[in-house]
Amino acid sequence: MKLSQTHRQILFNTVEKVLEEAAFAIVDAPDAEQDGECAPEAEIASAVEFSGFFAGATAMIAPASLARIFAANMMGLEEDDPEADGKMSDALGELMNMVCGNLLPQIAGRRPEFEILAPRPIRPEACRRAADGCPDIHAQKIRVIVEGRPAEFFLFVESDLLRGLLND
Amino acid sequence: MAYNILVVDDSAIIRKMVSRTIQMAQVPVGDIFHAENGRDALGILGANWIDLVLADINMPVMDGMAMLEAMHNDEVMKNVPVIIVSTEGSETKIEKLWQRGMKAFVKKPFMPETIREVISGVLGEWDETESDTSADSF
Repeated sequence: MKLSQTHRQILFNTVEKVLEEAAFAIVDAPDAEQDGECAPEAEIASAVEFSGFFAGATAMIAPASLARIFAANMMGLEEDDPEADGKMSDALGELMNMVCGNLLPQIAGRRPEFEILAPRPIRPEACRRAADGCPDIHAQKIRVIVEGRPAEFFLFVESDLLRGLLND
Repeated sequence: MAYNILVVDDSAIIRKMVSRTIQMAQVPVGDIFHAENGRDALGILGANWIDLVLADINMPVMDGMAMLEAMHNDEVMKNVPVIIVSTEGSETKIEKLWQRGMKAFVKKPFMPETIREVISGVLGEWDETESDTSADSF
């Protein structure tokens, strides 16, 4: 299995659909002006590993403030509701689960079976390091603006660097 | 008539999301029960009157497939309709769920209208004036 720009576009389309429908969040393609305005803040990252027809993982890195918005929107809470604080990682994981489940049939077709494991928190820097170390045929990355905040999404396939990402 | 509904998912956020969607979809709800996996769901089914189960597939301890099979082999539980709500995209796996007695399949992410249409297809249409009774049981 080798990834291409087509898979990058599929990743973007899937992320856009999942975030809009599940988290009521608007996704924009990144632009330099917004990138420059973002103040640094703590990040949360989550990955979902899969195996079967081919193996790999999807992952997401988001600032904590965006993860909080996801959690609040998914549960129908106000953004400042304290209940959302404890659900940020769960929200990110479930969104990644939806991205992964919707992405795979678009790439592999609807007949092959995959085993999709439970989402798990990962370290953002380990994820970026794995993506930077992979050739494009094994990793595709998109950076988007969601609700005015930057977020990164990754698709890894058939890469030894995945072990480092998931076990770090 | 108000329906008692059991929502089975290992993610608390998804359980809340599904419950909220059911209420937004104006399904007449008696109690909404929550379970984190198939085994806990079977316990709730054994102790309470449940009209409908909405369950995920991939869960720890007992997954949705095993839960469906256990329900299918139980004289009472086999009559409780199960809607699978999952990210599963493989037709092969979805065919296995139909074979084990699944009544409908909803793919995540879902719109409230989809949940309403699917539940109404499984339970039959209901009187809209009854749809404002709702409560959560945890």
